[in-house]
Formats: sequence, C-alpha cells, structure tokens
Amino acid sequence: MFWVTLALKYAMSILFYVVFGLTLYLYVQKKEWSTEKNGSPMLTAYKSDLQLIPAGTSWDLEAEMVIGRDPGCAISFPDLFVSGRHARIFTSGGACYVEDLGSANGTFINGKPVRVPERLLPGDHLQIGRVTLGLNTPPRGQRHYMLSLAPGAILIFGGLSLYWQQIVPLRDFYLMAVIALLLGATAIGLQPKGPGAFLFIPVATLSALSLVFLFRINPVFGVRQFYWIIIGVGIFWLTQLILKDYKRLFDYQYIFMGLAVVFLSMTVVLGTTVSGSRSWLMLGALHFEPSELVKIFIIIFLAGYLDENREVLRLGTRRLGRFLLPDWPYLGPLLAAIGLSLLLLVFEKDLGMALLFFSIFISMVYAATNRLFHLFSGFLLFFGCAAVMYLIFPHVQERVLVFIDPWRYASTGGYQIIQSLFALGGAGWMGWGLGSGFPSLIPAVHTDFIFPLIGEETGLLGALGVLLLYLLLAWQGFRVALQVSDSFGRLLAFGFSALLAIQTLIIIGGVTDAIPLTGITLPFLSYGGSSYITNSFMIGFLVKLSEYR
Amino acid sequence: MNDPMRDTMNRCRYFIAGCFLLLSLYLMYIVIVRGDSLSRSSANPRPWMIESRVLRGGIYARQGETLADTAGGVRSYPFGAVYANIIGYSSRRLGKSGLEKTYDSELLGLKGSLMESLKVRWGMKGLRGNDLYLTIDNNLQQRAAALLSPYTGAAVALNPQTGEILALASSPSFDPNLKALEGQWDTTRTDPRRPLLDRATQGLYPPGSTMKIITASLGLNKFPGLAGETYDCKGEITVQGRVLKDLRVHGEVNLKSALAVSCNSYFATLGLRLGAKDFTGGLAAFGWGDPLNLDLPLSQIPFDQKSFQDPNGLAEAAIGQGKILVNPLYMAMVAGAIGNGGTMMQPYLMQEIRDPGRGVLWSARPQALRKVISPQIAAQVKDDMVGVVNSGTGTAAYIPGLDVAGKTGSAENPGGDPHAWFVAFAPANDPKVAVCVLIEHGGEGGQVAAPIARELIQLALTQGG
Repeated sequence: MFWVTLALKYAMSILFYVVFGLTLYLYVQKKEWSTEKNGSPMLTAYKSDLQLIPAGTSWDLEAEMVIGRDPGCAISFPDLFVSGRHARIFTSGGACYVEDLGSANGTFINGKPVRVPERLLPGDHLQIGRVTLGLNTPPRGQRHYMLSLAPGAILIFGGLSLYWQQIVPLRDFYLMAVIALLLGATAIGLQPKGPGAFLFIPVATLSALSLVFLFRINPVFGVRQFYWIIIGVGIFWLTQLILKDYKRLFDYQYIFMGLAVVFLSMTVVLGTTVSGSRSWLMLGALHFEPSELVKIFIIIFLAGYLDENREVLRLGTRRLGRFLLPDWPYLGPLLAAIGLSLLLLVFEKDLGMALLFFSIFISMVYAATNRLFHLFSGFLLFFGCAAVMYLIFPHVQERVLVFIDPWRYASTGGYQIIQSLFALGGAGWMGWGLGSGFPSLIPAVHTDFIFPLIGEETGLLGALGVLLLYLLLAWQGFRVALQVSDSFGRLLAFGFSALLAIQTLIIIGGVTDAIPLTGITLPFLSYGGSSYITNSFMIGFLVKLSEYR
Repeated sequence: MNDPMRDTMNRCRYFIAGCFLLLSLYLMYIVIVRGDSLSRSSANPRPWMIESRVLRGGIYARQGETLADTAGGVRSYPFGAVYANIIGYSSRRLGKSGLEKTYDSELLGLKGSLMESLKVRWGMKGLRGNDLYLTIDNNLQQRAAALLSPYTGAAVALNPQTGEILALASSPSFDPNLKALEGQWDTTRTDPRRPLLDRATQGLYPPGSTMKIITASLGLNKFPGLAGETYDCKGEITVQGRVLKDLRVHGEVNLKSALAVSCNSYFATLGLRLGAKDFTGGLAAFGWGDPLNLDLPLSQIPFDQKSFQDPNGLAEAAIGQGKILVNPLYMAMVAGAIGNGGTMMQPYLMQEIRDPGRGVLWSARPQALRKVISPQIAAQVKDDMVGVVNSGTGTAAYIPGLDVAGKTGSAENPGGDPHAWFVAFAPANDPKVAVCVLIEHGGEGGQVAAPIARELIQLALTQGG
C-alpha cells in the first residue's frame, strides 16, 4: 500500500524529469531536429586553395547548375584557372552528371578528364581549377519515437496515480488515455518534419501536465480541458493544411488590425467581468476571451506592416535633434493601432494582456528595424504609460504595492502571491508528490496560478523543467524565424515565439513575485479554451513556417 | 541571407534565454534559500493542515504522568501553568513555544522515519505522532511551582551525577491551555511581571555570594595551602579608593569560616590575589564563554573579560557582583559539579522519544560537559559548603540526619532589594540532587531561598529521585 502510493506519487514527476532532461540533452547534442536539411545529397568542397571557398563549403544540389568564374553562375569560383562558364552539373533520374562546357583547363573526375557528360558517384573526386568537389549525403536526423510517446506516458502515470488516490473516477482516466494516444500519434506523425517535431514535443508535454493537474485540482476542469486539447490538436493539424499560402495573409494585414480593434471594442462594450478584468465575451453558453485571438491578429498585422515599411521605419526621414525619426504617414498607423489596442485592454483592466501586447510590439519593431533607438524609446514610453496608469488607477497601485512587499498585505491583496511562494518554497527538490499539495489555498490555481501547484507537487526540478520546456519551445521557434526565407514569415515566426516566451515570463515572474503580478494565462498549462486553441494555432503556424526555408 | 533582421532576432533570442535563466536562478533561491523560513512562516496554513491529519504525540513526566495530550483536536495541558515554561504551547494563532516548538517534528512523527513522514505528508489516515518522556519529576516540579508562587523567581533541581533536570520552575507563569492562552494573550504579553519569561533558563542575575564557591575553588587551585591561611576581616576593604562592605566585622577567618559567614572582604581579597589572568582562566574552566545547548531557549552567560583587568571589577566579580551575570540553571550546574567531584554534566530534559507502535526511538545518555576542578578541590569546597548549612548563613536548609552542602547569596541590584539565592546539593557525599533557588528582590538568601531549597531536597530524596 505504502510502496504503491510512493511509486504512483512520484512516477509521473520522475518521468517528467527524465523527459525534459532527455529533451535538453538531445537539443544540446544537436543530434535531432537541427535545422540542416537532412537526407538529400549536397555538393561539398573537399579541398580548396581558394580563400573565399574554404574546404567544407556545401551547395544544395539543384536540377541544373553551372560552375564557373562568372558571378552569375550558380557556383562561382574566383579562380583564374576556372573558365567563365566551366562545367555544368545536372541531375537526371536521381543520378548526378557532370559536363565540361569547353573549359580552358578541363574538368576531372578522379583525375580523368571529362569529355562527354559523365555520372558523378558518391565518393568521386571532381576537380575544377584549384577546388576538389564531391557528392556528400549528410546523415538523416535520428527519429526519437520514444520521446514522442513520453507526453502520453506522463498522462498515463499521472492518471493512474490520481485514480489510485481516488481523486478521479476510472472514466476520467480513460479520457486521459485518449489524450495520451492523440498526443503520441501527433508527435510521431510530425517526425518526418524534423524541426517541426521538436516544436510539438514541449507542447505535448506541457499539455499532458496541464491535463493531469487540472483533473487533480477538479475533474470538472479536467473534462473541459480534455475537449479543448482535442480541438487544439485539431486546429494544429488544420494549420498544416490551410496555411500553405500563408504569404497571402500579408495582403490582409489591415483587416486583421480591424478585427483586433472590433473584438476588443466588443469586449469593452459587451464584456463580462471575471476576476477583476472585463475581458470575457459570452456567446450563449460559450465564454471566450477575445484578447487571446487578438494576439494572433496583432502579430499578423505587425509582421505585415513592419515588413512592408521596414526600410522607411529603419532609416527615418524626419530629424529630431540628433535622431532621425520615421515620418508620420509610416509611424502613425503603427502607433495608432497599438495605442488603440492598449487603451482598450486598459479599459478592460486586462493589465497582463496590455503588458504582453506592448512587449511584443517593442520587440517586433526592434527586430524589424534593428534600431536600438526604437527599443529605448519604446521602454521610455512603457515607463511613462506605467507611471500614468499607476497614478490614475487604484488597482494598478495595489499591484505595485503588493509586488514591493506582499507580506504587508498577507491577508488581502498579497494573499495569492504569498500562498504561491509558500507552495513553491516548501516543495524541496522533488515536491510533495502528485496529489499532496494544497491547491485549495491558492485562488485561481487552475488558471494563472497553476505553476506554483506544479512546483509544490513536482518540486524545484519540476518547476525548472517547466521553465526549460518553454525556453526550448521559444528557442526552437526563434530558430525557425532565423531560417524562414521570406521576411514576412520571419517576422511572423519571431512574433509567435517572442509572444510565447514573454507570456511565460510575465506570468511565472508574477506568481513568484519577481515582477508585479498581472493576470494572464500560462500557455498550454492553464485551464481555458481560448488560450489553448490560440496557442495551438501559433505552434501550428510555426511548424508550417519551419518548412519554408 | 545577410539580413540584419537576423542579427537583431538572434540578440532578442539570447536576451529572452537570459531572462529564463534569471527566473530559474530566482526559483532556486526561493526553494533552496528561502524554503525553510517560508515553510515556517506563521502566515502559512500548510503546516497546520498537515498537523490536523496527525494525532500530535503526548508529553509525559518521568513517572508517566501526562503533561500534554491531544484529544478531539484540542491540545490540553493538565498541569497548566506548572509546566508552561518547559512545554510551552501550541496555538494556531500564536504559534509554538518551548518543547512543543523544539520537538515539533518529533511530536508530529515527521522525524525519525522517512516513511512515517511521507505518510503524514500524504495524509494517510490514523497516524499518531511520537510521545516525549521527560526527566522532570512531576511531584518536585509541582512543589517547586507551589513554593515559588508567592514570589517572582525560579527553582531548578537536577541530578548532578547524570545531568537529568528534575524540576525547572519559573514564577510567575501562565496557563498554556488554548482558551486561556489565546483569551488572555494581550494581558499576558504586556504583564510587567513578564510571565512568558522562563527565569530559570533565560533570566540573567548577578550570582552574589553563591559566586564564592567558584572563587574558593579557583583559590584552592592556585594556592594549595589556602585552607590553612587566615585573614583578618575589618568589615570592609578599600580597592583603589572604593569601599566594599561586609554586614559586620568577621575578625579572624579562614576559607571555611569565610564561606560559612560569606565574608566579602575575604573573597574580594582572594580575587585580587588570583589576578585577572587566573580568574578569567578559572571562569573559562567553569564554562564561561562556552555556549550551552539545551532543548529550550537559553540566555548565554556574558563573559566580559575586560572588566576583570580593573582591580575594582575583579574584586566585585570575585563576590558575584559587577559584570558577572548567570541564570539559575547554570548555578544549579555549578553546585552539581562540586558535588559530582568537579565534573559538570550536560543538563537535559528529554529522557526518551517513543513511537506508540514501535517503542523507544531515541533515549538520552548522560554526558560529561566539562571538568571544572580536580576531585580533591571539589571535596574541600564541598566540606566548606556543608559548613555553610550546618553552622553558617544557610542553616535554614539544614535537614537532620543528612549532610546538605549549600551556599547562600544576596545579589545587590539596581532594581531594589537584593535577589535571594540558594544553591545546594545533597547528600553531600553522594549527591542525588542539586538545587538552585532564586527569588527576585527576596532579600537574604538564607531566609527566603534556603527554606524552599530544603523542601525540594527533602522531597527529592524521600521519593528516591
């Protein structure tokens, strides 16, 4: 009895430690999901006497490519021994052929001159001028099906533990098993996508943890989240189908901005107040948080607008003292759009979202324009706005005062944060075991404050593991952004990744009293459909973008 | 490929990774550094919620009398104020004190067995914490509390051969039972008589003439022929222009008679003869400057070595005035050490910790704390102390048919009448009990404190310890 309880209390935690440890290990080792193109042959310089073409340089093999001294050639060697158009390499029927284009110094395969088109086999040495080339097939990235199954295993162990402890009935365990299968199948199905699979593993692990802990807090939340996860994964797969033509979104950027403003205004007018902020819309039985959807609209708008006008915004045409500023026709719409969104969010008292939007705005403008001036003026603007809000709104003042000294307000405004600190502080390395914490002491433990509960029951290791998963998710997202070939896609990927990372930092920093608390969900972990579905869409978008390199 | 946007994005990526790293370090700080203090915070309901799952263990006196017990979720203390200074209280609102605090995890069964503590954490049903068995003799403790009740003061009784504390009473005290405690908390807390202070362990008083047994020991150690020397007491001596008075002119005295009549002139002169260096060294041998461990909060006795450099300070210290301050528990230990042939034993309160199911988990073993003087000198001082009770200032502690070794003290203090002291041990040749009684502003030690000590010794010896 004791030993079974011991095993079940900690099986899920230990599995989780192993999963994030393994994920980190694989990532650091770059054995998997590196963004190199795997499996297709490349042309590689084995030896080279040219400074500009160091040995090891590789070129993707295309249907037909010309090597020569002319800069217009697909592969251009600045070598006097190479003719302007020296040789042609083409593929036919999966094989690669070399043809000499009447060069002055000749083309050689394994030391023999090429007179007629000749087949180039892997391992052959092709000599052109002072460079020796060869066909090279980089090894395929390994596929880790075990890791794909890990999120499902977390769910199964967690579900068994909760069932054993009589926290959930058998039926709920079956629901968890269904999600386990769904997450496992999705992760395995994504394996051929390489980098895309890596984006999904942390998401699946977080979703698994989310479902276990929501069932643990209250099976009612668990059952609802069960449906949200199914819909979210569905949305994820849908994005893979419908986003092939994502570049067309560029043309609709203003429509998205318009939608953002409409949604936010509707919330201000028709919204319902839930836990202090008027950020919910009720459509019949359906409650949803429009600001979650608006996150996506704003990023699409910013990506489009910044991509279109980035040169103008970057260089600036108006002089203000020592600085060059962009002209009003370019800066105006941007500031108006963001200012309006922020104003509406402030009206809703949705401080967390406002902070998130502002951070995204600043980081995307900075990324697009590469000007520190914009970054610093953004920060100045932020502190200016924050100061004004502090002076005007009593609820902002309270947040700041509680942040500075939560112990003074231990039974009022600081209660939540202090209980959160107690939960985390008493956890030790391994935590109290699943089902042994005190979620009832923390208000909003199923939404904004789920992190302290996970810390309390899985320990410091678990809490650090959750942080690590978010970091890896964002890191891989940024990596996708760096590799997307077009700048609109790049800005989109950057925006989504930054949003996930910043949202995580804002809420985890808030519940641990590292920054003032502003209510906002923890992506994929907190209870809630709007948030889960929106975030799934963003991850789906990122996975799709990872294909456009 | 050379888009400057990529550099910027890369910078943002590292910045965000840096933020995650900082947040991780901060989390580690919360758990590793602040974890303990957070878990113990009075605003944290978790310990109480865990506690409510466990039947808190009981606390028992040496003969098994129940001193603290939990029934129906309520902690009760049948003897009320008699044990409040030792056992303390356990209140959700006010926190914990005394042994309830020191042995909290033992009482809850969280210590001693990882398995048990995990069961408690997981709220497995029907758990009972461990029981504590004390060295305290219930009869002696009750008598001590009763005798002290008219006064402000403390009484300590211990077994000098083992260090077991038999009684540790402080007056005034308070009722630790929850209803009384929480109901009267504000008056108890602000009472000018300070009932929450355990005078036996946390009070600090000048020892007055009881200090002379230490000065005598140090003198015999440095001057082997001291016992044969005589001194002419003129009723006062002048040290650097300052006059130290005696109650009367004692005339020709030797060590034995000087101790018996508590002659200030004799011992001040002896202190000066010893000199600052040997006096300081002697105090260190007796334990000054060496923190004592006990299961209860303890006032550490100050060791102001600089004050002994001045002849005035040295002469005052030699008769237990000036910068010398001690607590009653310590003076009982000093008396016990003389009775125990110069070996001071580590005092202790906890005899055994028992698990209701598995029996004794831990039991105490007597430990020698330090050797303060040689057995020969201890024997000489003991004989002189017997003289104090038989024919000196301590006759109020005389028990027919029994050799009691004792010493009175009347400690001058700025607050009013002198504090009355009496330290003793008996039977002198094979002591089973050492006692120390202190009455704040009680006047003459021989008149107020000695009769209380006498009763305690008698009780301790008749029931066989």
